[in-house]
Amino acid sequence: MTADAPILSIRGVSKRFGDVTVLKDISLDIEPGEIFSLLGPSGCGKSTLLRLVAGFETPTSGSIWLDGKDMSRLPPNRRPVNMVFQSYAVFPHMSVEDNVGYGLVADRRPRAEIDQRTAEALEQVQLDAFANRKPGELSGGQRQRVALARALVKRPRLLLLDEPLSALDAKLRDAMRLELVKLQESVGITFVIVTHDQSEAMAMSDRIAILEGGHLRQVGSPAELYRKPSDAFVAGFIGNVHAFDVQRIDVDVDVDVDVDVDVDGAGAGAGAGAGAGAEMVLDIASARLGTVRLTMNLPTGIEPGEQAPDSTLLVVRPEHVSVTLDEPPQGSVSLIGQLGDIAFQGSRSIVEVQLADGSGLTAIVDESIADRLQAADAGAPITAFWNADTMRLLARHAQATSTTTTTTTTVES
Amino acid sequence: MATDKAGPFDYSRKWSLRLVFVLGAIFLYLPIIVLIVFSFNDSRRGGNVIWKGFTTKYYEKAFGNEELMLAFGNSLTIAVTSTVASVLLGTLAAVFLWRFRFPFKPAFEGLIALPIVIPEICMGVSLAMFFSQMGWMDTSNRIWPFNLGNIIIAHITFSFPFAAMVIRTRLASFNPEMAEAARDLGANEWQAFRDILVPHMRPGLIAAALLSFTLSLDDFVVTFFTSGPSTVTFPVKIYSMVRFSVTPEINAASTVLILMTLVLTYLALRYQRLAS
Repeated sequence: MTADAPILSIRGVSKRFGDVTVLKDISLDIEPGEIFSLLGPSGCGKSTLLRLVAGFETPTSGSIWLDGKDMSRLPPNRRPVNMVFQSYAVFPHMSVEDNVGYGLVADRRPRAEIDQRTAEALEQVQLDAFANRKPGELSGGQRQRVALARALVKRPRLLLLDEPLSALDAKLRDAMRLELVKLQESVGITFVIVTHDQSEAMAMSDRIAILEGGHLRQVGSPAELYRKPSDAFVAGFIGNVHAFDVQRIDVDVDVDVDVDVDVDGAGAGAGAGAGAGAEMVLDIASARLGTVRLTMNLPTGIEPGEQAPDSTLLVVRPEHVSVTLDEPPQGSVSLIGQLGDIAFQGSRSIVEVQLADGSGLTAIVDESIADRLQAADAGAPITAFWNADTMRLLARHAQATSTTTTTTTTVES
Repeated sequence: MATDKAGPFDYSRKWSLRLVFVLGAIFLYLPIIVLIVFSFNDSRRGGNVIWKGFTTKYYEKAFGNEELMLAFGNSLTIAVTSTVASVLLGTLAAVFLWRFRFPFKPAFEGLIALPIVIPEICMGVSLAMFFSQMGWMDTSNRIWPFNLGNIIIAHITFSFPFAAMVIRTRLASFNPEMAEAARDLGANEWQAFRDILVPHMRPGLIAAALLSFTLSLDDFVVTFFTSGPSTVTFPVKIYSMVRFSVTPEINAASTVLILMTLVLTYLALRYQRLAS
């Protein structure tokens, strides 16, 4: 993280619509020049948060600071922040040029300046040849560029993008991802992007905030979120996980920890979820896995001993799971099941393992293993296994932003 | 496929539907065409459908008929005034219904639409009673155009609900993000209204104006009940002329009216196309 003062500071913001609380005590800082994503499933409050920053809503409590000034109560037309709307909201009765120049006209800039800056902005999004067209004559991708140019021409401190890629078809979306990142690099404006698509957020963002049910779950770089998710929700939202319910955790005090075994090789940093404190050897009992021995820090909010049902989970990612028709390697965690479908995906294949209790497990394996499995019959006995060190112990829900040690764990259905 | 029975939308393959089409066209347009053609007929009686030669003298006669021209002028004045008022009120009502939620909104919407379904005769009678109770019925001592006040009020009453409905329908297709985008780009609420919402409403405003104008121009029932003895509108005048005798003069005056409506509609459509 840079040492600069944050460009945008959201401080304890809550938002209620009538009886419905959409955002609960959100605090986060956005650094100058970064691409910051607000990621979460639909209804998590991410769009409301964006609208609060744009000024279309006012917070029920808390405040929003831009460049060290409280702008919580400013109307949208007086905030140095511009937005690209999900529907693009390009004005249909104005030419492309007039659309882009609209914000400058509203600011009463001189005509010559408007013309010059409009032309520059259109060039920036490669629409200079379309200046006199009406939006009805443009494709969806071109209309989005108009919306981008229209916002960028105002040289905002922050550019807000609400689901910028969701209305584009798959091919265009991939191209536009890269283009947006390049554009951000060339203009140097801080981007705040709202998206429900985790791969989109991972590919574009410097940092991501994960929201769920109006709560901020975790803030971090894509790699941090993937490697050190603060709870099972984040782990499952960033990529996939198989989760196993934990019944009991025992600390094995007889074993000396002298080797620093970090679960995923990432250095111990200020990962939002990982608790501080010494590493210890834990015997974790799970109904489906038996007892797994892990050397790790006990995450914040998880206490040794009996665990409430559904509150603590042991998770592993499919990309860490392998399968074998023979004996699994010594020391690995394994589950016996039957061979299910194999989905060929080129250099890798996704293998489904049907477990005795009726649940399934997927493993991502390379070509050599896939070839051997293809030869076996469907339903053949098979063992899924993984290295215990790839597993993470997570609370189902953690309060990622709180720095206090008391963490309430909510059990939701 | 060729042997299939005609489907529900194979209109052109059903002789019965072709017949309906031809009959519809005949009953809709033939009388109007006859009316126009025989306005040039050199005959003393307008009901006479025997061609006696071409003449424009009935146009001269119609334009020379001072009472008819006065009625025509009254009708235009009433139509223009009530159209302006209806569109203004209709816009206010439509925006109000579109923008806000409030208690008893469905009841309020129903009340606004009520004049559309109430039989015209009932409206005419009730307004006539109202005006005479107020002592407004005798308009002979008022100078023009104030002697048309009753009729204008009556026309606004029945045409503003149509205007409100048309504009409301148009507003339903407005994307609220458009107005937010304008605000986001620096426009205040008035600027966003003027630059974004009004242009979006424009086709609805034009349609509402045309509707109000034609509703007012050819209204007979309500006008008949609410006009005092000294004020006459075009349809009422035509009616009284027809009671004596149908002359080609009436054909000529009606043709002028048709022409005016067509030109007005054409201009409105053209303007709308230019705007979009």
